[in-house]
Amino acid sequence: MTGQATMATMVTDVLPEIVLVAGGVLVLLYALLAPRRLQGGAAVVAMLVAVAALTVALAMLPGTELVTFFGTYARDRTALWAKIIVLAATVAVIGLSAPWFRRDPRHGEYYTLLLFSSLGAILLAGATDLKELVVAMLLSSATGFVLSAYHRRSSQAAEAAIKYYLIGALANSAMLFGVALLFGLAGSTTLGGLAAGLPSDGGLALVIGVGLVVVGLAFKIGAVPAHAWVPDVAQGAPAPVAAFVTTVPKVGGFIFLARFVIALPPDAAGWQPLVAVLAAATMTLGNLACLWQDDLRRLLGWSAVSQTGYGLMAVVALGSSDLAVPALLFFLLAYVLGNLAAFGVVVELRGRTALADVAGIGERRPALTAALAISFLSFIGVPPLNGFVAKLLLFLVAIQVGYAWLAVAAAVNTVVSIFYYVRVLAPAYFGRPAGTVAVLGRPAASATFAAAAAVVVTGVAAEPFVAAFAAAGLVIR
Amino acid sequence: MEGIWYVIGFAVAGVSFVFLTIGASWLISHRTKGSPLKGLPYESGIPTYGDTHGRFGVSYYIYALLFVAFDIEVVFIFLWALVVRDPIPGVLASMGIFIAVLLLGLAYAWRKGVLTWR
Repeated sequence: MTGQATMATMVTDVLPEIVLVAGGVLVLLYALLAPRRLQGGAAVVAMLVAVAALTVALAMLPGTELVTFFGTYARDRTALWAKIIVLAATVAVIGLSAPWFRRDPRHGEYYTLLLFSSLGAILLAGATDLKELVVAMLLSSATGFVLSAYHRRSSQAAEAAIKYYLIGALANSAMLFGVALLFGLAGSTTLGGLAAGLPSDGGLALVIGVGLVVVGLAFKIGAVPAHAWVPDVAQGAPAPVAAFVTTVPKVGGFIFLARFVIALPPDAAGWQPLVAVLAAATMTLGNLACLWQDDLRRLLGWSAVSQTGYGLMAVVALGSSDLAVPALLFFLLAYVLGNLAAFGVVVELRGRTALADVAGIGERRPALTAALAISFLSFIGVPPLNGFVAKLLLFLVAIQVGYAWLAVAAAVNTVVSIFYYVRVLAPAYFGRPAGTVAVLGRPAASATFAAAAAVVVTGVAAEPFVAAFAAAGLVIR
Repeated sequence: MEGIWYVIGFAVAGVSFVFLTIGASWLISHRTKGSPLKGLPYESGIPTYGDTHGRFGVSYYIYALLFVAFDIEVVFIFLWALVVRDPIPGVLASMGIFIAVLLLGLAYAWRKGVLTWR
């Protein structure tokens, strides 16, 4: 705790956040003043802002790890890596969005929402206070709802957004109840205060409080029991928004969940079996729903659910295994890059999403199909792609902490998942092409190829990343 | 552990309040005694007409949204006013930035034509 720190030194701990706030306001000003034909310039401004925040976050990596703003906000390397992943993903999504929204005459403020939404995810990743959690969840969710409904004349987008909103409202209010219960039990809302003040025999109230907060976070990361919005948003929202909403908020949600569970008294709330059961249910449900999916975007949505299940294995191991934090961070890196590449292909295909539409694209668009294949093979966990290293670490930590059954469940699920990924890839390569394959344009293609290349590079050269993530601490006080 | 009874008691009280009020109004209302007009949900002496699912304009909702934004601002300003006398540098500036961002929202709404009544 930095009780004596002055305001000025504390402000330097949240520089990327300040850049994002100021940048978001700047983009809004631009959108307000620029004429309609120049609205696309907002993408350039937003891109510069995201890159600036990314640079600041990278520069902050060697600093000391501490909790700032009177115990409410962590400045540790886990939070910084989360910021870097979030901001890199935001840059890619801006690249995907620029050609997608080109014909929309009033889309300048879309980028403000995008920047504020990634700020919400970043705040989640750094929060060490339950009130901070509530604010960050609101910022990240409210912007997500609006982004999903950005095509407001599309009934599909409206349906996706209203489902997202209703499930989100339910989960977030459940979380508020949980926060209130935990505050009552511990007498403090900071995670440090919870760790010190929660009675280890908190009984039913502690179990309910922890359960309700976990439900709120499950909504954010798309895990059972609040996962139902993911496939709908993946299918109905504008494709670049689907790429954003299924990746960026998840990073923040996972990191806060990690901080939250290590603040709980060990064995008190039974959180470890709880998270393990959620993990198994999430990966199995996501996989089963994928099996006969004929819509590529819906398939990606369900596959995002099942990937969340794998990632929760790292959360189970937190506090008992040194590898848990690097496993979680590497999983997030692999998942975000893979999902961006896959959704990037959908964007580049102008949002065409039926399985029949991808038949034979391997012949017409070899590079694009390669990007799709790379991301799918990475989801399965084929070496040398980064998904392999992520799964290896996740299985390792699950077995390390005595949850071998969870690793077995994940392995079975992985084998099952090969079926539906191949069900897309086989027709893409061996199917008969139906006419020409129209694509969207250069910015979207660049973002897609960059994400796919990153999947390969971070898989082949995983060592330095794992080493860097292993040096990341998860501080709560 | 004793505290859980407060939670349970509160939940029971909350649920029973709903049923008690509905039950009480059912008991003391004079449903179909006398004129059928007296049994209508909105009793005004003449028969009601039209559909209950009629549509009506809610174009004021955006004003309500703007109001909420500035309503919340007051909550923050009130707390800020309690500490503003202490010589902490940047206190005035921080509130200035906060209000400026909110005003930008108003400017945005204005520019988008929200403030013109249609």
